Amino acid sequence: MGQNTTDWPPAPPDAYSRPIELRGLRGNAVNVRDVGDGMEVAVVRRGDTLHVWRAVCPHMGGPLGEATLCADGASLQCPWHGYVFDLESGRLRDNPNEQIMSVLRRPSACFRPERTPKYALTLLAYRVVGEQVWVLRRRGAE
Amino acid sequence: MKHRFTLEYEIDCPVAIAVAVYLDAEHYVFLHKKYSDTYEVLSHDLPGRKIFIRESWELFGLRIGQTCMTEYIPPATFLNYDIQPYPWWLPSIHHVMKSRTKLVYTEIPERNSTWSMLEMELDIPFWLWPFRRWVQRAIERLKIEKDEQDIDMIRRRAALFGRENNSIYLADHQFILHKEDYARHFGLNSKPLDPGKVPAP
Repeated sequence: MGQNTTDWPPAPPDAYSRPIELRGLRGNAVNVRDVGDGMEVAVVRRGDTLHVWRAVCPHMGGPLGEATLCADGASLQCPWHGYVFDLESGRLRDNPNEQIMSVLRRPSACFRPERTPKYALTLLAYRVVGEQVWVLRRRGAE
Repeated sequence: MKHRFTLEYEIDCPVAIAVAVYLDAEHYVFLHKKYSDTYEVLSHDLPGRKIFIRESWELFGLRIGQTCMTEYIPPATFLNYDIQPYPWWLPSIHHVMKSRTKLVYTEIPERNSTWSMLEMELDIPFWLWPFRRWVQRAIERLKIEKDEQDIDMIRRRAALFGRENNSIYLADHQFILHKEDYARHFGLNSKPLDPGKVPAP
């Protein structure tokens, strides 16, 4: 029938055009992949669980493909400003600068230290088909 | 003996962005962690826009670094002086050489870009004088490397959010150094910079 390995099994209809090879993912590390259509994602594989999110930090746009997986294995740190995000929920967990700059963080007309921003990673849904991971064009886990 | 030199180049972004990146102290020990992974505020005179800091890093299990007075002169001038080694007993060139830097960002109106000029003054003992060019090159290399990291960040942000978009630096939850002054000169209601003139506060 002329089918080859990239055409079969078929890609989910709402997926980005380029699948991720499951075997190529390093465990407990941040993997960065181009899934086509201009979308770059970061992937963390923990056992049988995958965490997939857009590789752009919601704070200032830092490259999350270069993020550091924290020692707890459940969060990652942006390389630009050190903001720490929870892998499961995607939510901002910690801004270490609050401690580093604590003596300078005084309330003023322009700065409200009590206002915690609600940054969150753009977690993307995915579907595993055979040995390939298809990232879907919507948020959340499959 | 005074050795003075300048390091000048264009940074391809508006002055408002270049200044914001400089004042965005939250990135110092993360983006530039290769050079220093700890930033501590030892004392400050915020009305005078002066902050005395210690930057340090680990070498062979020992934490070493330097202390330095930093000063901001709005809208786009930054001074560094009184540099001392940390800990004080550390063998360092700063025991015998005094250095003072003045960094000025000026607008290039035709390209909506920034001219960066670093003026450096080294007060060197006579026996170090033959090595002044070597010291100069080391300082220039460090400055250029750190600027390249900042420029990569500026380029990526420009592609994502727009070249002139400084809204995150002005957001009320976002901390940057001397934010009131920054907002006055580069905020929503600020007037365009007149190159060579300092806007009235």
